[in-house]
Amino acid sequence: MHALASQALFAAQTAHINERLAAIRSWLINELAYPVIDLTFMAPGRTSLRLAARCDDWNSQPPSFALLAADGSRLRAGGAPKEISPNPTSVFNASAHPVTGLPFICSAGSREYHTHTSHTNDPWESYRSRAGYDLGGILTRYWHAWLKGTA
Amino acid sequence: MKSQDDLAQAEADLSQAETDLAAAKKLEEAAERKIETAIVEIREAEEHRPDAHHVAVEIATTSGFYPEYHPDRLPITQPVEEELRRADKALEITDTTGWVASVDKRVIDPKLSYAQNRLEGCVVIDWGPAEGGGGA
Repeated sequence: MHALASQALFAAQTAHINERLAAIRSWLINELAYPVIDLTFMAPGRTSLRLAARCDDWNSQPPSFALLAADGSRLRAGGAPKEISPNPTSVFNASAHPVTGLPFICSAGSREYHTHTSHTNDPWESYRSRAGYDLGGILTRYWHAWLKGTA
Repeated sequence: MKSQDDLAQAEADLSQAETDLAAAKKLEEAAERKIETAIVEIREAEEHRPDAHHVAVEIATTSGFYPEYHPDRLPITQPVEEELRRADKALEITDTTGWVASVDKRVIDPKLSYAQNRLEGCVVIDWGPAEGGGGA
């Protein structure tokens, strides 16, 4: 997609991801400017999870998500980072992604899912026009998945 | 000479008094307009206030809030899905298959009423797609 078209689509789909919504969802908006969406998910009794999405070439490509601790440090593969534990939906994968070597989001809508060797038969192209796979929808899906691990 | 000076002073005082009176009248008119505006705002706020038989409802989505500026006052017996349908239409959300409604992160059943979902007072319903499957 042309860079300007990508930027315009990003702006339209993130226009309502604002402080009002963040307050209700207990999100912290660290950065929201093309091509970056950097949010922290928070919940009582849970270690916060920070997601930094790079949305370059949106929506020809899905966002690439980095899983971070609240202080911005990258989660490392191996073990079970408390930011993504417990993980009843298996959406968050603590093992090393074959390309990045880092923990990743293993669910449709993340670049790391669609480039994973186990999911190359489930291309982003079949999702990008579907309802609920706009930027807000993808973030909401991952937020719901993360909340499922919250008592 | 003194009486002429007194007359000039009296005319100046009168002129000043007229100017002060005009300014006071403008202030009074502005205050009346503020009072009228406040009364309208109070009445509007009261129209959206929950009570024993009504809830004040807002729908929060990543496509915006419905209603945009103030909650809807709805009967506690009304099924939640009615307001969700209105939100879908207003926010131009085309397909909500598999979406989840939650209040304070508690999932509710849209087919049930607010009362049946144990909701009262001011209610903000978070409305969005459920998590997808995961696993490599």
